[in-house]
Amino acid sequence: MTRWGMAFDLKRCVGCNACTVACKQENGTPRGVFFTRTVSEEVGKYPNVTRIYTPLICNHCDDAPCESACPTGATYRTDDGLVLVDDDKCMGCRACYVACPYKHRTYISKEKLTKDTWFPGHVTPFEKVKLQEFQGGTVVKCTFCEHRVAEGAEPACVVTCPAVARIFGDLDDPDSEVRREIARRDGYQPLAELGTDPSVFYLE
Amino acid sequence: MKTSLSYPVDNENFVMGFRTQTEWRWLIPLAFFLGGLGGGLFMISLVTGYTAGALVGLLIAVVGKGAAHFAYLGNPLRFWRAVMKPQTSWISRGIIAMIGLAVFGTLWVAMKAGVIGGADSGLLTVIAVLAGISAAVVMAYDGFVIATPPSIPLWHSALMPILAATYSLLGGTTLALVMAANQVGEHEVVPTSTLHTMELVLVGFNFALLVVLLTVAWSASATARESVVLLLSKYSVPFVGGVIFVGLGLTTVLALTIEEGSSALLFLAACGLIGDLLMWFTILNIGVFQPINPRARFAR
Repeated sequence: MTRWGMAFDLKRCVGCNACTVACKQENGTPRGVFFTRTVSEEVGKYPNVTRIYTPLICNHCDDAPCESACPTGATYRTDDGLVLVDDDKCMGCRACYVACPYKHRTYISKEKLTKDTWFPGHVTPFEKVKLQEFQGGTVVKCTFCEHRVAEGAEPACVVTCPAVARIFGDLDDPDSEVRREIARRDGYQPLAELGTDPSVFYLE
Repeated sequence: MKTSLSYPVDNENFVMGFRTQTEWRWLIPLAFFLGGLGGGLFMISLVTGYTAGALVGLLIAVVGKGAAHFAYLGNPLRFWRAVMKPQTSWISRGIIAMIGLAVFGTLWVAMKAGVIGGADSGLLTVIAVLAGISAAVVMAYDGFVIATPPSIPLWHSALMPILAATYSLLGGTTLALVMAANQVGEHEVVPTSTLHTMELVLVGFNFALLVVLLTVAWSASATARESVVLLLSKYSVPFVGGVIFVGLGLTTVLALTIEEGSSALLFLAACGLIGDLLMWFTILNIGVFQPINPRARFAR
């Protein structure tokens, strides 16, 4: 059985946010909606100060609290470990939003798709095409680029990363690069203590 | 490792830090308040046999809470799907309980009021039990909705369903007292002195519960502590002024000094209900997510 997962090499990430841009380009998410992003944090005390970067994404948890909380069944888990949202079933209650410990779900209002565009009051040709893929009044999230993975390609953020800080693959395959790197470098899951069993790992 | 994670960074998409929940801000607290109030009033009325109170409780819980939820939904016409996953979702369970309350509660009120027959049969007892179970779930399920997922440490507490249930009972008791004092359902006998005592006990219990909840949160984790800090800074006016002073303090003073049946009970009710609403408003608005970077857990 396949279980898609991702590992972030924190030593390699330079915080360029190319992944963020690639994701927005691939998925055409509305203004202010990010399926992935890299956050920065200043640590230390002058003069020993540094900035560290942490890429964030939906963790496609094995025991996803968002899936349990969803009252309509709109959030579901596929056989290959992807946690997805069926737009046609989502009623926009946002229970999944408050249930996700990683805060990686975003509610898209109907106004967001019509008025709150990149240039307020004007819809660009790109938005005209891409925003059609979203339904107003629903919650959206990262899909691990399901449409690309189905065709044998990697998610857009992985392909774009210039530092090769993102490794994508099958967590159930002991010979996959992602599984080998997690084993070799003691990869850890974010907020593992919550018991959600994320499919995302961090490598220090 | 030292970091500066001591304030929410809701408007900073690319900065690590605490983030508050920004979706359940007004209508959901209102829905929680109305559901608790209606469920509590129905429960009190069911136990005391107060038909008018039960009817008002039904209307508040089913119509009031239902309307608030309906207004909040992004796709309200799909609301019927909310009953699809009772095996895991507390929202589904709650909606099913609300349907149960609407059906069995209406039947109970109709039979008690003599609109339909069978008031003297065993059927009334069966319906009363079913309506009571439904009302109990409606009173407490909002607490389970926020307590079940581990996302927000302050909410992820076994005290939340208890808080929801006891605040529901307090609201229900307050409203039942006021209705009885103003002769709503004038031919009915309501044990007002018992309700008066119950009101005082519940005020004390709820205050103790809030103190325990916040004290535990303060020492539980950095994120839960951040919620308490928000409560005592940004939300200090609605919490200290509204929930504690008006909702619990003033209610206690009035309940101790006002004579039974006095019209000043209306003021007492207003204070109690304002505190009840603000309790949900503040508790939901101080929901803080844990930063995802594990390094941040050692920040404070």
